[in-house]
Amino acid sequence: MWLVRKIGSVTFTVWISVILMILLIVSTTLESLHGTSFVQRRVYQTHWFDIYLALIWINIFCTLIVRFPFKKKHISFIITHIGILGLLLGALLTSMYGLEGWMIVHAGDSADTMNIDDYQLKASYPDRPALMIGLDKRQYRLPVTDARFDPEKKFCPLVSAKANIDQYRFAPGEKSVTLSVNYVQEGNAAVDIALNDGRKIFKHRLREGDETTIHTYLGDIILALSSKVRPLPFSLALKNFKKIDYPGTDKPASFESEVVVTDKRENAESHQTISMNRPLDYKGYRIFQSSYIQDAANGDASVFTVAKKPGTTLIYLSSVSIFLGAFCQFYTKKNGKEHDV
Amino acid sequence: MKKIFSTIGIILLMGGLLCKVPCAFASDAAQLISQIPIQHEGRMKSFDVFARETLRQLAGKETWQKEPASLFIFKHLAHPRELLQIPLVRLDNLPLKDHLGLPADRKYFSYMELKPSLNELTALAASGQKKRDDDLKPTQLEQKAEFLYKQMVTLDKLIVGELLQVIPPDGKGRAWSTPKEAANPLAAQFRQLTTLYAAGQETEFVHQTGQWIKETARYLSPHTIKTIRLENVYYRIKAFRMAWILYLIAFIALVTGRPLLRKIGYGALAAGLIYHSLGLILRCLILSRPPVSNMFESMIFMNWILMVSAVIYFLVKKVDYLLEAGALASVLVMIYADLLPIERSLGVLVPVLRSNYWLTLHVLTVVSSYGIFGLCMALGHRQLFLSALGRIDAQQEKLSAHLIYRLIQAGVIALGVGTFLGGIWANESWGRFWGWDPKETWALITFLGYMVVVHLRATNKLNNFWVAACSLLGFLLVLMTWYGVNFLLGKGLHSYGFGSGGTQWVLCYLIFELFFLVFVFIKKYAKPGIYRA
Repeated sequence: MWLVRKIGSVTFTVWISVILMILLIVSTTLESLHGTSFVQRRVYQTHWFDIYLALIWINIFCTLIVRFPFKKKHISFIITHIGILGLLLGALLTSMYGLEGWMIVHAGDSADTMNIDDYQLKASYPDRPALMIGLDKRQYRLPVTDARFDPEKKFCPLVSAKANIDQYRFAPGEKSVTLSVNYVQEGNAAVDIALNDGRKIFKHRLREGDETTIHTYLGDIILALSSKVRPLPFSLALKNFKKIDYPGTDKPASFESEVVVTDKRENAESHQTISMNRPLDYKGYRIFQSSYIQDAANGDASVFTVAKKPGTTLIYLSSVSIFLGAFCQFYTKKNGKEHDV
Repeated sequence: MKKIFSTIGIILLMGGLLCKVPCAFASDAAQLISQIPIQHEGRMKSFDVFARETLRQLAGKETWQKEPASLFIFKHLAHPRELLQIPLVRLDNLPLKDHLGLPADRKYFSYMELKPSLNELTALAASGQKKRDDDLKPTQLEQKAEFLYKQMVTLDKLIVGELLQVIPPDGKGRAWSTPKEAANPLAAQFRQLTTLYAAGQETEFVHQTGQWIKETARYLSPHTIKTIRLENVYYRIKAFRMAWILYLIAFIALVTGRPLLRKIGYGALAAGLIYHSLGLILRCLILSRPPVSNMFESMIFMNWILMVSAVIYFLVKKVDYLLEAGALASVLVMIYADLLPIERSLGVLVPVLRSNYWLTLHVLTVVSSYGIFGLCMALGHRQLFLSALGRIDAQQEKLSAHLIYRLIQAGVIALGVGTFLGGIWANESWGRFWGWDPKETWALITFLGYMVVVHLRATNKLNNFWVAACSLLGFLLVLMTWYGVNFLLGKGLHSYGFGSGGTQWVLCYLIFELFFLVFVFIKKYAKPGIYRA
């Protein structure tokens, strides 16, 4: 109980808030220097940041415990602070079960997968099934991953400290190629690769979207870095993309997409319009018009953001509860009293 | 009696200022030129407004050698190549001048003087853009180069006549064209106008321009015509400049404390607030949207909330110093807004900001909280200053600190609700409620900062001195959220509000604040026991 009292004290709350403030000030400064994805990977999406938020949750939970059994005067206090607990839970729910990605659909075309903010390295011989090496985005720098390419096999086997060795057959021998991957951050995602065919080491920096062919004496190897792809339970066809400009300029005033959504299981079609600020809700997913590509050669394309955020309702309810409680706390007669310090 | 004085004050002040308006034009010709409709940056404007905005972008002012912008630009339309030699482009940044090999002691440069360094400039601007594309921050030099590059482009377009979209289109909703590209008789007619004016044939010019305005009005909807007129009024009355002058008068009159002067002070303050509101209303009417899109608008609105909350709390609490502190803070913010070389024109919105009422509520609430925190900051300065001089007794200090605390509570709720509304908007537009975007993160930092103050005060852990000191420190966080994220960090999704400029003034404020805090802390703690409540 002594510990609960300590953790539930205002002093603890103040310290935990001040430390969070300093932490966030540092992280926004880092963001300005090193880019958004740097801080996302190094701060906001790390486990220790989650643990820190959990600490805040425990702190507020204890402030409630300390006041038990509740009296009438505690009502507004409880409403406010339960709201904060709910808000943090909603955030947890979203980060655990939430999905976010984007899809680019050309006019007249359709897509049923989305790209997510993770990267994968594709390695293959020409006309062979490719090996996909997923790059964990929580880790800024991956431990060196070795992959050996065996020209005799149909697939590229992989060995690494993390990967399951049983899954890929390791084929040692003279005729093998070693691939080392080093993940680097340089504005956008990039990897440094080193390919060793036993005679020569080929070094190359691969950026997101790049594809390169390396001519080893055992044959050509194609390497590509792209964002990870995730299947969706529906397919989205872009019928038409419309962009309306402010008259006499090329500044867009609005843009919208006419789409047809097809459910893969039920095979049901529905015609919809998605525009800026008017997303489409479909089976737990929200599809947003986030951008567009206008290209005379390949036709227009829409960029959609696809998101599944299960915690949002809880976050909304909690926020309303926080403000209701805070309002009552600040503007009821008792709390309006002047303080004697 | 008080009412009579205030009313007289308002009438005198308003009357005196409105008299100025008709004298703004030297001649019929000038009057007519300013009315010619033109399409500029996606909106129909009057030639007057177009000229002011263009000259402001180039030279940072709205007159050229005492000649109004509209006359200056119109005069050169017939022979635009003369503009090549006129040192129109303002360039203050020393490192950039140095980099381009331009003399450091001059402020204004002509197109021809800048032309040799165009390659250099393009390279700098391109590398800045490249960095933006790669999600990195351009250097100060690159940002200045980008700005200068845009000035050059504008001047270039003005000289070749691409900016001059004055010829009405054939069909509705189409873009207006320039006299160069339009093949219809109207283009020839417009060229005739410019030649007449350049040749000084005033009678003929006045006659033909009158006709031109009547002719083009057929292509405009009644709503557009009304908007153009309102915008002319908006630019001519300079509502915000009048407002801060009146606030300054009010502040001086109120501080003296004499009964008669105080009444004038009330009157001036009310007149200032009327001008301020008028300016805001005109902006809303012209643009058919609330003032939410750029730094200038948010500063003016923040200030308006600051004054309105000062007046409301004054009416409830009946303490004059609310008005004094509010008026002084407003004067400073508005002078700053006036001085700042930021985008102040009435621009069109990017799609994500259009027609969304969550956004409107979000920005208005958040900026309101800045206004309330601004008032706290002003009151905090007053309290600390008086207490450092020993001119405030314990009872008064307690009252003042309590007032600040109550205002902070109101501000915290406004900031919290505003940020939450922003989250709803983000969820509607980008698909997530919270994403640790710098603006969001800084709003949270500010919120946490003021929450700490509220928690400490509510549990009697913060004395009167510290409440006032925290109102100052808290406002530094507000400043970072509001200005710093957009202008210093320059990162994240709130990119439509990015820019640079005015940094030196913010720095002045920071240095002043530092000295002020050191001063009051020394006064408070160097002689223990004397000033402690």
